[in-house]
Amino acid sequence: MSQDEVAELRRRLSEAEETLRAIREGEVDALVVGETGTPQIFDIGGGADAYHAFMEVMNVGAAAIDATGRILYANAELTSVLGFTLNSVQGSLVSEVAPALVAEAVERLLIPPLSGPVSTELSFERNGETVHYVLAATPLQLSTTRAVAVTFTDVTERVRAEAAEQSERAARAVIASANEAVLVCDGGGKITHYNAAANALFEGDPIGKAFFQVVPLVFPNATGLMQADDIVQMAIQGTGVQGVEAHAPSAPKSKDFLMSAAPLQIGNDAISGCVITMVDLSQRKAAEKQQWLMMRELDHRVKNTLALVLSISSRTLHHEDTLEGFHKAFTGRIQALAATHNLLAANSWTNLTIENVVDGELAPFAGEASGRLVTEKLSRSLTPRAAIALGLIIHELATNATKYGALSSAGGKVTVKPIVDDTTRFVLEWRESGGPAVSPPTRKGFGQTVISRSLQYSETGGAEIDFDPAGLVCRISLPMEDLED
Amino acid sequence: MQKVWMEDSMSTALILEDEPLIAMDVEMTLREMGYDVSVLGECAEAMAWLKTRRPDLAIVDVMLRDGPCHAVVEQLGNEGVPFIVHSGDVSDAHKGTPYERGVWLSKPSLREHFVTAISQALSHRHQI
Repeated sequence: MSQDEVAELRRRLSEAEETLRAIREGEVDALVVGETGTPQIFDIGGGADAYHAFMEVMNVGAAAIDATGRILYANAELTSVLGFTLNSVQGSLVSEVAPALVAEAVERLLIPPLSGPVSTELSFERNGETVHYVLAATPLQLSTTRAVAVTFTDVTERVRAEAAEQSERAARAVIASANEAVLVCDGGGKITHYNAAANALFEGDPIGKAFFQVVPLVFPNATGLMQADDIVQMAIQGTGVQGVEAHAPSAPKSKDFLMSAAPLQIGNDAISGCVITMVDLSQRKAAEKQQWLMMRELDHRVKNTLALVLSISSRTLHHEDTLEGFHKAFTGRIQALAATHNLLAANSWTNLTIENVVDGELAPFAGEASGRLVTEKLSRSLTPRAAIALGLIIHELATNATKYGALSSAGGKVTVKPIVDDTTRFVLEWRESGGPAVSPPTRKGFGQTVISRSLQYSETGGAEIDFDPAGLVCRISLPMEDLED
Repeated sequence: MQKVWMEDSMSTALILEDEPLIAMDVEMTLREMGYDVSVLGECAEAMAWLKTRRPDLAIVDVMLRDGPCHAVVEQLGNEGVPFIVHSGDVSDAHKGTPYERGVWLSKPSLREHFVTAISQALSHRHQI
């Protein structure tokens, strides 16, 4: 060892001895030790009071916690943050003194060992209300102890303000997207808010004006004394009104509404105004009118049918010589009418085909004439009016055929098919064959009149009978306007 | 065109009815009473018919094939033609319309009521 080297070692030794003496005698507060790259501050103890004093003046809750979760120090603010009842929590584990949620959050911050600052948000119950804090943790070396400084910053107000804003936005969206007109009035009955649907009630800007001035209303079902302003005032005083029919003569479009007014009470505050909703009744009114028209139409049809029955009865009576003959002919005709009505009812008065009507009328005769009634290509649909007339015609033809024509003898046959089907005419042919020789009747019966006239309500409708000796032929022209595809 | 006044010859009746069998029954009843009868089912036909003729009596249904026919009924009223409204509707539904001037006969109607309505309508005419 050289002379110089010995001198250098002596100098270092005396420096170390001097440092140890200074530490021992309290002359040093902290020591900086240069580890590779990261110099660390070691607190020597004398500075603790200054450190504590600093923590106490912070307006956030702060604590120093060691790696095992033991509280080395906590400031007064923190004891109030966590609602501690202990005067001192120093030396306790966080999990022993803090609410479970807080303790868990702190533990999560401490694992894994910190190398830099971290933070998290936390909500917990305190004295029955939810509070919100931001927890921040920073590594801290206290004396020879590695610890963590944890601060608790109260963000409850900010969170609550955000929540309030969010719920106000939601409330506004609910009102705005309501299909019904919604208006809000203040305690003085002046409009403060309204939604888009309310624009159907007035023209111009209603804000700041009294509801009854913006939307003049009359109440058709109430005594003349009731006014819109009374309803608003009652609601402001705490008595809501629900579902009053109101007529708005000056409203731009719909005039009929169902008005409701409810007191507006926010939280536990006093009533601060009222909320008015106006439900548009125009569709309901239209539906009621439609129903009334349908009832009238039904009434009309029933009476017309009864009139038809009476006419059939009086004309049948005129042509039949005996009561028995009348009874048979009359009930047969009423049944023919009923057969078509049954079909119409079963098909909701739509899409009845010619075939449906013909088959329906021939059904009572089918037993004795099985296989002798042939129908072809009768798939066109026809209106109820034409169906009823055609039903009566087919009934008269079948009755006649059974009495005198092809269905009165074993070899006879009836074919029903269209013989003309173009854009201007539709002619259905009833052709009898194989029956007794036909001769024209000596007097014109009512049945013949029914056949020729039932479809004559239209220029393109009608029927003519040809008393061909080989078999009766009837050509029935169906009104073009009453034929569907 | 000169309208034909048929006071001296057989009285004429005009039936406006779109249901053929009802029209036929009314027609037969009127024929039996001695009327010369014309049956029409559309307003347009009726308007054309009225251009050249004037009936002594008219029996009109409210709803014809081409709808209700105020113009025809108005003309009947203006010309002093006695008319019967023969309809399934009730008269209340036609207050303030030209139909109000007719004698109302609800469908379905009995022959006796029909005859009574005709004499009512005819006496009504003489009062005018």
